[in-house]
Amino acid sequence: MIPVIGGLALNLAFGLSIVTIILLSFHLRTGDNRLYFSGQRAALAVSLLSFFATFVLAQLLMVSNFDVDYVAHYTSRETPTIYKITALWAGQSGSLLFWLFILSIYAVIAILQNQRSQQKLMPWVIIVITTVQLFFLILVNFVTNPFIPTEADFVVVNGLGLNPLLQNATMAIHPPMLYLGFVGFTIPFAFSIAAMAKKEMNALWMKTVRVWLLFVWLMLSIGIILGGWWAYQELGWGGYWAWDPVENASFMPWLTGTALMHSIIIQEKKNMLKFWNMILIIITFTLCIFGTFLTRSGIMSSVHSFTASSLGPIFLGFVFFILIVSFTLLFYRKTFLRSEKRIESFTSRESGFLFNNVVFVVMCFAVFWGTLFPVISEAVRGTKITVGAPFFNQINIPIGLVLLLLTGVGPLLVWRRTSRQSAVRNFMIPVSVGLMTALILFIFNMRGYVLISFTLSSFVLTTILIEFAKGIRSRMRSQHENVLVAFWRLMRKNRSRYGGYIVHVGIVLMFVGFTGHAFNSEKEFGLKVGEKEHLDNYQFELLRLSEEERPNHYAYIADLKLKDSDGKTITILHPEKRIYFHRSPDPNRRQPHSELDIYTLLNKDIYSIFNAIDTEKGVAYFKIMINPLVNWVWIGGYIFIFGTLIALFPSKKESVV
Amino acid sequence: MKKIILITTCSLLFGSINQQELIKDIEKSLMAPCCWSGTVNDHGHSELEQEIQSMVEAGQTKDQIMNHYVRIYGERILAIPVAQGFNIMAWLAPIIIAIIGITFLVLYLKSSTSKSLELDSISTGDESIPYNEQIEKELKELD
Repeated sequence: MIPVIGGLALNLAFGLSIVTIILLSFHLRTGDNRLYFSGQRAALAVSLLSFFATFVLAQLLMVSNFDVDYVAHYTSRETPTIYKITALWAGQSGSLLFWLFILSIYAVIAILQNQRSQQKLMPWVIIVITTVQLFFLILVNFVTNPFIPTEADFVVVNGLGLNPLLQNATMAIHPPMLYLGFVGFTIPFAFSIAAMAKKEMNALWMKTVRVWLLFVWLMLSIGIILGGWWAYQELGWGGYWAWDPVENASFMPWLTGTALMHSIIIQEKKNMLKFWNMILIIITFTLCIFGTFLTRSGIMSSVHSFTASSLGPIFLGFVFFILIVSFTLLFYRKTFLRSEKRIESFTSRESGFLFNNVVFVVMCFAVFWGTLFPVISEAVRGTKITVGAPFFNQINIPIGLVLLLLTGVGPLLVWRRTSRQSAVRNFMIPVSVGLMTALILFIFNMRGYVLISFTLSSFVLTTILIEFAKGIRSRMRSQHENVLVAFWRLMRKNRSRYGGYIVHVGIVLMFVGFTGHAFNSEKEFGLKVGEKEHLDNYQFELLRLSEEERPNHYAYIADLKLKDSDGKTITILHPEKRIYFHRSPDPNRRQPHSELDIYTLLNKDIYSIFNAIDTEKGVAYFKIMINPLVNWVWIGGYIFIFGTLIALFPSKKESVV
Repeated sequence: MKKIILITTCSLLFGSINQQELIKDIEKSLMAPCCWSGTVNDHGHSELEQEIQSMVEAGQTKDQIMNHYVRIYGERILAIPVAQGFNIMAWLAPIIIAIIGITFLVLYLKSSTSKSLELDSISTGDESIPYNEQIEKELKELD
């Protein structure tokens, strides 16, 4: 009965979404406000019904109702409660419902928050949001319904269980964060379409769009960072980014979104680049839908892919629909979006932002092209090829380094025009620090990308430090404040600017972490109890091998003593080899999984993987990796998030507006 | 005699280091032919790893080993496509887009800056203001 109610809620939401669009379209034609209010309430009802359907599915998962095919596929009685909830987004239909759920949360917030302040735009905003909801409602109602009953003549006693790779705490947060980012771009997109349709783009619109963009961009960033963290902790290959098609799918909208975060500052401050920013918003939203297409079409092989399905053409159709409608509107509104002001000089901060935009877009294209190239090549040549991580590194490392350079150059340029004198003055110290770093690194025999990356990192950090120092000194002089008060007030008075600088510090530290990859070392070996092996200056001794049966897996646990070069014991690592679904009568269902153990230091990780066990010979096989500087990727990530949160809080001045 | 032993040890040692590097290099250049989502080095593939090791120890070159696997699995096994024919487009297209993007930007900036000079022949830009004063001016605006 309960699954039927869930299905009915989705049916009703589908019907009401069509009613919403019709009512609001008539309101736009006739100007009758009663139609608007009815449409707005219908839109809210669509969201409430979507919430209800999601809660019904969550409840079915929690109580292990295996009469529902989705529940039987993605959970079992042994699945821990937390992962029964996360199973909501583990499968095709559940994750589409989850997408709809998040979009509905955003829809309710956007409608209630702006119903008075943005009255003129709201009909269009609601139409766009509801159209996107309608698309997902079509999918969950007619293509892949999460409430479909199990196709079995007998009572299903137990479900298949959740993929062990997804049974990880990070996996409970990473997908929702990504969805919050991906889905969230719908709102600034809706406001942009509304602004173009109504030819209305005031300061309040700007503020609304900027805050939404910043928030969803932050969510997407957190989602991507957590994805890297999960891959590093769970997949057991010692890396965090594999240029997998689905990772790329999340990275592409992040790149155009980041370009937008920069160029929208020019629109906010100078009322310029409106046309370009619209293009970026449209592309970013389209890339979010395109990313979902990549995951669900089955055209790419990826660790993240859902099973190949008929969803591909439907998603592709929706992508083309968005592009055609948006760009047609953009074409008709090109005069409205034309800027009156002009960029005055090549050496201005505005130009710096534009160069940054071009580089971000080129990088996005490189990722897009590389991701799709196997499909294109197969269509053209009829031969299957692979474009793997080494290719993406080849193309994107130089582009990334150019972006790092621009991160340092940008703050040194002045709005409107930077004279030669001031350019020389501003660049003098950071360039000197960069050159000094390069020289020292060169003496220590570092070359190539490592040398360039560390040099640029020191250059950028110096520019940011100088920016802070100058701001603080200026306040100390003009306001007679001490250092701490000046620093605090400087941050408070202009959160977006100094928050942005903190984000840049985070990015630099992440680059330092990425560069550390060049110094990685690893070794694979087999050990019997009591035997020892060495890697770099560390000794690994297998102390003990034990076994343990747990509710949803069987584990072989190694106690691996780690000693430094002085023979001092540092720690005992406990990597595990687990067999999930070990009680399954079908041997093919039993799934081996390596649970890592990592010893973390500020400057390196010692990463132990229990690869395999030969129970007859009593030999355990390990892969040990020493990953220098990897933790700076995560530290940089925290700082990045902290900086964005600072920028997200409105300044006093803004809140008065 | 001691010298000979030393030389032999060194050559064996360096030989094995070079072999290890070659094995790593090959493992990084080949996709793991199970789920095709990572290289043999990243993803791991014990069968291929053993084969590569024995082929390297047998004195085969990287090209010979790569060609061996291309014959078995097709071009798909290569982590980076062979840079010939249509495949060159994999590198060329981003470069073309970068050139187009930068050209557009430079043309836009050229036309924009020249128009801006026409509109505002007496510059009121911030070039004459020293950087410190510029910051102070911006901060005052916020107070």
